[in-house]
Order: sequence, then structure tokens, then C-alpha cells
Amino acid sequence: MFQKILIANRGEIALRIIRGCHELGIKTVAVYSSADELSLHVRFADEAVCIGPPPSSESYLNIPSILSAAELTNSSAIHPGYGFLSERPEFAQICQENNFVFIGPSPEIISTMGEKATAKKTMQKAGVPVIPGSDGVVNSIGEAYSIASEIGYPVMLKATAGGGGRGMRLVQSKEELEKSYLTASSEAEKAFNNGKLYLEKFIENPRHIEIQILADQFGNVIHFGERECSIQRRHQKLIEESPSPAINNDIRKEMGEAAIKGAKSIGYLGLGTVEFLFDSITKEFYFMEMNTRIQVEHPVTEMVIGKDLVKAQIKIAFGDEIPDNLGKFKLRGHSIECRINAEDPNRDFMPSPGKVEEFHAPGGNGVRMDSHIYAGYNIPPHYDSLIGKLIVHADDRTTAINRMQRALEEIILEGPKTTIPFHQAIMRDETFQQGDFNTGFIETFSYT
Amino acid sequence: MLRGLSDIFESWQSRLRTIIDILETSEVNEIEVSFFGRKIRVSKGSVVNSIQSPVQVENITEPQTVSENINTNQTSETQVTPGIEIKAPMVGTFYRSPSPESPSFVNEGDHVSVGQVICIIEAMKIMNEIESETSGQITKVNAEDGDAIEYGQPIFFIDPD
Repeated sequence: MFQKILIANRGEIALRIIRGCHELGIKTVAVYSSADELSLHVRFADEAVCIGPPPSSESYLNIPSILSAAELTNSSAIHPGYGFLSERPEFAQICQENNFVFIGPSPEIISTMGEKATAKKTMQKAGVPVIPGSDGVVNSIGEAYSIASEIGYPVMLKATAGGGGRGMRLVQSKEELEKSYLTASSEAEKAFNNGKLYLEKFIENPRHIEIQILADQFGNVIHFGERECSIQRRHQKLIEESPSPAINNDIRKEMGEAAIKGAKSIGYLGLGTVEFLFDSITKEFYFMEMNTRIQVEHPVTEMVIGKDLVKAQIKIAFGDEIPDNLGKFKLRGHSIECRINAEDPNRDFMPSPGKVEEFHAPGGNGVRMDSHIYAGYNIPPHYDSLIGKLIVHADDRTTAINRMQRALEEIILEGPKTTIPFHQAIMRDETFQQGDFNTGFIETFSYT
Repeated sequence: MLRGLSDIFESWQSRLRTIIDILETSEVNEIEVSFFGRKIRVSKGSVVNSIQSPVQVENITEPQTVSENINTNQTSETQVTPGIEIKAPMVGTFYRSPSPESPSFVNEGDHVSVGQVICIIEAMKIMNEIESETSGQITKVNAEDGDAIEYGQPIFFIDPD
């Protein structure tokens, strides 16, 4: 097993990885910016190296500093966590070149799956369902008409150079197509200097359902079921759960097999998540993207399958083969996770860093809190606002919601404003309780 | 409602008196307070002696800006050495000379000018020459050849001109 792992991350995920390492008897090295000197991951690790000033670009994203710290501490492997450098192919590359095992897939895979258009093509070639649409950009209005009539309206016209919802047009019918095409194209030209568009079927009321997979170096790939992540605000997940109230065993089996097929086709290694858009009406699912790292919401899967994903990830990176029993999982009960952010839900989720005056985590049966905060801790303003994940597990969804309500009530957190009251409101919401929601839920959710 | 300067000064004085009273009648030995950017430290003579010991009032005049949100916990241990710290601007291995055979860039007692190379910090096989940002006299070399250095670690003490 690895002697020593350097965790190139911070906050709750750094803690999570350190805990997994300690259980495996692996020494840990924390790297930190000067703003994180009193952070819990620094205190829990066996060694810690200050690698830079507060700005991420000069610390947690500073590849030479991180590699230097790995060198100085004689680390055997580097765990990138999520965010930061976890999906940067050049970081994985540099780790390899300097004889550090990068805990994740190869730089080539990270690169392929990191490029959305390439990832989609790659999955399509493997026989994974993708959102029907044009093959690359549309070269003329005529072409747009023929593709649209083939896949059926409504369709989405999207700028290929675009992002953040800009340069997109929803086209409900044939009659709207030409005008939408022209305005979307000129808008894209103005905004991104590239007026090229591509066309995709518009999925109404999509749900975001993702499959957790694990692949070893011997070509074995297994899946651990799905996570329902449709409760999102501006494309940021707020609440995740497993299993999804929207799918049954048959669909689960199909999605799992599709995810495995896709992962095998690229020779994937390690922990990964294949994200799908699920059409609640037609029950079809389409590949959206693949995350080649551990995810924030991984605890929800851990609770329903009863396995430790971080330890599994480390063992795979070391070269272990997936043990036989790991693939024979059963989804047991129901788990929900609420991401607690230091943000003020009454002020449009404005970040609320600063000192945590009081903190007491909830507990009891089926309650897990993954957090790096403590009473007296100063939440720095330089990084993301996630201060903890509250995860519950129970026999069924209703009991899980009930348990989450109980746990949210129990949290004592004084100082910064948090999204706890917002989560409480969602737990009380009838639509959420019925499980019949989609990615449009938060937009229409009224919180006072 | 504006308060006259004299009002503020008066309340400042009476507060100080209150603090001195607290100190004299309790087992507290030292209190440090901030008023309007000024820091005052009030301390008693000895620890165990509860008899009225002389109370000293020390006026620390440099105003200290404390940032609310950022934890600027500087690793300033009690400085026995005169001068200010030169902190490592990066992580790596500290070397005092350009090569094992050469003499050190600087020694204690040497005068350095702004931009003068004072050491090397090696990271990932790259030898980074570290330049002094202050002109002055090196009072202490705080790290040894080959030491692992982290960002912000004091590597030299310098007495500025």
C-alpha cells in the first residue's frame, strides 16, 4: 500500500481523504495556503506544508508548489480531491513524470472526457445514448431544418463557443427555426466571436441522474447505482439522494450498463461518475458528461451500498483488483445529502464568510456530517462556500426526509449565514416530498 | 451625535482607570486593550504576589490593523534577534550557495541591497534564486543548507537600513 499520500485539496474533502488514508495505515500530507493555517485538514494530517498565500492560483492551483511539497515530504501518491487540479490533464501528467501516483485516470482520459463535445462523440461511438442532435456544428439553415425534423421539436440551438446559458435558443416549432437561428448566430458572433451553432433535442423536464462507477487496471468496471441530483441552483447541486425516486430497477440496470460500457470503451481507471439527463416523460436517458474524479455527493452512495469509496479509490490506484463481492451490491434504504454553504439565502445566496462562533454537529442514528468547521474557525473568503455536508440514511425516503428535518433542526451554527433554513424549507415542500421534481425545481421554488 | 474629542479622551481615561482597578484587585496579571486603533497593555509586577504591586502602563503606539475575515496568523515567535523576517516566497529546499563547492551567497553580518541574491530555493529540479527585497544587514541565517522550507517560513533576519 502507499506509504504516504499528499492531499492536493482543502476543506471537507481533504478531511475525508485523510480519514480514508488513516484507516488504511497511510501517512498523510496536507498542503495549505496561509489562509488555511488553522484548518482542520492541516491539523488532522500527519504532516503539513504551507504552499502559498491565500489566492488559489498561488496555492491550491499552484502545480510547482504542490509538486515541491510532495518532493520534500517523499510522498508516494497525490490525491487531487474534487475541483482545483482534479480534472487538469497537465497536473496528472506532471505527477506521472515526477514518479508520483496520481489518484485518478490517465491524463489522456481526463483530457478526452473534459472536452464536452469530444466526450459526447466518444460515448456515442461506444453505444452510449447521447442527446440526439447535429454531428458538430450546423452549416446552414437548411441543415438545421432537416436535423430538427428528424429528431423532433422542440430543439435547442446552442453556440459551440458559448457557455453559461448564453447563445442558446429554444425552438418550439419549425416556424420559429429560421428567426431563432439567425438571432442566435449573430448573438454568438457578438459575444464569442464565433457564430457557429449546433443543434440538440430539447429535453423537457430533465432530471439529472448520475451513475457511480469504479474501474481497475485489469479492465474490470462495476457500478454502484445512481444518485438523483436534480435539486440544483444555477447548475450547482444543493441536494442529492440515492436511489432516485424517478427510476426503477430496469432503468437502473440499463443506465448502469451504459455507464460501464462507456467507461470500458475508454479504458477508464479509478472512481468516476457518468452523468445522464433523464426524460421523465419518455423514460429515455442521455449521456451528458463524465466526471473523472471523486464527487462531492459520494457519501450518499456510500450510505446505501455500505462501502467506503475513498478507500476503494486508493486501493485501485495502488493497483488492486476490484474484489468479487464489491460488484454485488444492493441498494439498501434511502440516503439524502444537503450541501451546507456559508451563504445567505435571504440575500440571493451572497457568500457569508467569517468566524463560526458556535458549532455543534447533529448526530444519532443514520446521521453523518462531513465538515471541516469547528467553533472558533474562521471561514476564509477565498474559496468556495461549502462548509459541510449533512447526510442521512434511513429505511425509506419518507423516513430519510424526516430524519434530515430532525438533523437540520439539531445543528447549532452561529456566526455566518448558511443555507440550513433553505434546506429545511425544501424538506417541508410537498413536491420534493413526493419526489416528482426535475432540474427546474429550484427556479420555481418560492423561499421566503 | 458627535462627541467632542475631550469627551472621548475622558471616557478613555476612565476606562483605563477601571482596568487598573480590576488588575489591582484581582489575580489577573496583564490586560491588553485596543482603543481607536491604539493598543494599551497594563501589567502587574509579579505573578503570585497578590499584594499591591506597581502597575505599569505601556503604550504600544503602532496601530495594528486586524483583518476581520482573514486569519493572518503570522508565525512570529518572540523575536530575540533584532531585525525583520525575510520569509520564503515558495516551497522547496533551501541552499545557501549556488553550488556545493561555492561560498554562501550571504553570511551573518553581511550587508545586502535590494535585488541581491541571498539564497536558492530548489523546487522540482529548478534552482530559484531568491532576491532580497530589503536593503540592510543580515542579522541571522534562520535555515540550514538542505532544509525543507515552506511558504512563509522565516529564512533570514535582516536589520533594514
